[in-house]
Amino acid sequence: MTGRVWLAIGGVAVAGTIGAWLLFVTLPEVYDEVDDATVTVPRDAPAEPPRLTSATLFYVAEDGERLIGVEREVVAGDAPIAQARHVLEAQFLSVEPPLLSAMPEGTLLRALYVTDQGDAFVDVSREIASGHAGGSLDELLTVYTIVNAVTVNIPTVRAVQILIEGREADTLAGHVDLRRPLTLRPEWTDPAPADFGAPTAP
Amino acid sequence: MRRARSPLSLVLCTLVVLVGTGRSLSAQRSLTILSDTGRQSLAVARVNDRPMVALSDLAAAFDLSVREDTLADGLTVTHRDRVVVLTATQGLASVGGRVVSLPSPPVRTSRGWHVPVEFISRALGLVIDTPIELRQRSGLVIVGDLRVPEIDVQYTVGRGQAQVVLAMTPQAPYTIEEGPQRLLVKFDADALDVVLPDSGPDSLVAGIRQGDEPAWLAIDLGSQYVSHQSTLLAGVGGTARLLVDLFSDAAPAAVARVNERANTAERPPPPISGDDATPAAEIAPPLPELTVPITVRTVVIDAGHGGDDTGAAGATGVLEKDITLQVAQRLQRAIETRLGLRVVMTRGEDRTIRLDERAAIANNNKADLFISLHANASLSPVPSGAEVSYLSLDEGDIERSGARLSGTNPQTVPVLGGGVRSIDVVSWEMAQVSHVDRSGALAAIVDAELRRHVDVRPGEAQRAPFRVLVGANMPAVLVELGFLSNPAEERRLGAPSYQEALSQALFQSIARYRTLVEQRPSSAPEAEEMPRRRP
Ligand SMILES: [Zn+2]
Repeated sequence: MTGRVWLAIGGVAVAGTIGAWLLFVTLPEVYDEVDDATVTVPRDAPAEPPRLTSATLFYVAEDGERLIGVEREVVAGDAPIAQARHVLEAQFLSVEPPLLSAMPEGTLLRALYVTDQGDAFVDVSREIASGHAGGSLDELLTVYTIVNAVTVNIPTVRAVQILIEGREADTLAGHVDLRRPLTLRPEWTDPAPADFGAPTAP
Repeated sequence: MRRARSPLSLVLCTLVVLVGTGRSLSAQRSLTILSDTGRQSLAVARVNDRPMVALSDLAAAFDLSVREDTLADGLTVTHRDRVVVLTATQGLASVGGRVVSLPSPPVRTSRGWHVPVEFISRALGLVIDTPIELRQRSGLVIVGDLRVPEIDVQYTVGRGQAQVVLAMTPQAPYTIEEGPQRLLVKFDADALDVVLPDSGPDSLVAGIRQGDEPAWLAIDLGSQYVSHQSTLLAGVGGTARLLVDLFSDAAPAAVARVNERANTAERPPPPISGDDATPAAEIAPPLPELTVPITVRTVVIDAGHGGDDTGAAGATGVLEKDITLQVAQRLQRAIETRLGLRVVMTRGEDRTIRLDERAAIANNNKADLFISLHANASLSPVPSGAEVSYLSLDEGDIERSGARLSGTNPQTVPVLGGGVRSIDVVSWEMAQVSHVDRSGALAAIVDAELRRHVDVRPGEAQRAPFRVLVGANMPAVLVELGFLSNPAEERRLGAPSYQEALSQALFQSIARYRTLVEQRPSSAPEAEEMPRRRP
């Protein structure tokens, strides 16, 4: 084998190593977040109970017409992104009647990014679309459950874009444009937060 | 009372409008890379039904080296000390620790690795450390801070006169020179991003084409051409429209006067010929701009969902896609037979059709109205009633389209840890922006007519970020006919009598809207006013 071929093989090997390093060192900054984000409830009793804070979560009112804000205790996060994660994790949990959740069953938070400009990107699993029953009102309520939960609880976030399985999405079920960040809208939300039952720790 | 219309505007009613349509990227075979060193072509391949470019072509054009990493199932793309990592399994690229989302992972074909065209605007700029803008509609890849205004050319021809409208985004300084057999519009820019009309030659204009220099546009004159008159109308967000009227005789005085009044922005050079000398004191009634509809001729009815996409479903199995088609067909018959308007259906049968395609059908047919029909659903069986919506614009939408129009912001905005916002996509797809006021007027009429004929939801016409409306280049509304999740309403939505009542309400709405438009032809400033909505 000539020196040139060895050089080429060596080059590929070096490139491969760099590539692998970049893939496993650079990308995991995001993937770690994904792993973190999917852990919604600590399975073992933690040594210290997590610090809690109050947050407004959004559910569909009994009459199905709009969202209502409900005060709940959620795990407190140090940075806005950590706080947003805890709020969304709590928001994605199933809820007891008479409240209804506009989040299709099985929807998981995959990852979350917050930009300096105050845009949050909420990456959720495909169930948000595949499990959606359709209808523009229902779709608006699903989308604004996420938009409201993040913008109301994280003051530095101005707008929210929903990504599905890590990619930009068109719509959930054919109506609401998801290609741009959406800001808080009062139309589909009852402004008076109501408390249903005693606060429960997640 | 109907206002008397001037004979001139009646003549203009009979004009035929030919408007150029932008080709989507999916139809393009190549992109053109524009940089300060010149232009070169970049082949576009369709891979998995998506426009993609070969990494080897990008490497040659941008001095990149590409290495494959079979172990990690990925690729590294390097330019000097900057590296992009792509994985073959995910639509993500990592650029110096920043993650950028792509519509698909890279794909290996017989011609080597291909990446989605979005890679160019979202990742490549970060690697070569130069802003890169991808202009989807014209297929231009603009490297660096070049001034490349978008020029949408529309052409209208009538008896003895014609009009070329150059819609500029952003407004670019220009001069008009008349040479033998042609008018040259010379823009002060590095290049033009032009969409030309697909009109044939006539006696006034033999053709419209790009000129010999990159920033020139040539209007080849026909045998009957005698004079022209140009007018610049300033729009919102730094946009402008240059109207070039061409005449088979001296320019009619009324046109010259009105143009003078309308011309609030920078004056173009005076016309070389034409009767421009009429005293400005004789003010004629405003001339409706040719590109603003002065009646309703074509209505596009969009039956929501279809094919695999059934939309919402009622408890007894009534499907949204069927209800929307049935009401659409009733409405079509009513409009055609009783109003004599042209009706274009986005679908006349049960088939799948993309949201983009729906707006494109309306745009390509130069529709004057777009009505999208849907049936609603709620988690609760309680909500009922019909409802009309028109597009809401987020503050961010305005900022984003305004930011790009001003030309001062970078074309791609990298965001911390989460990708790159490519601004060109937002703006191009937001054709509805300039029609939102009239869409609101249409929605108010539809709301009133729905109230007269059927049950409606409480509240007025709503504004919502509905995807199908965004790309429609005409007044557009989305009508929810009723709730399939409400058992009583599910029953009546399937009943011919109720469908007829819904169709009646929409028919009356269109008739009333047409009357409104004909009584009060929209003036250009009204049409260009950008609605601002604070959240
Ligand atoms: Zn629908």
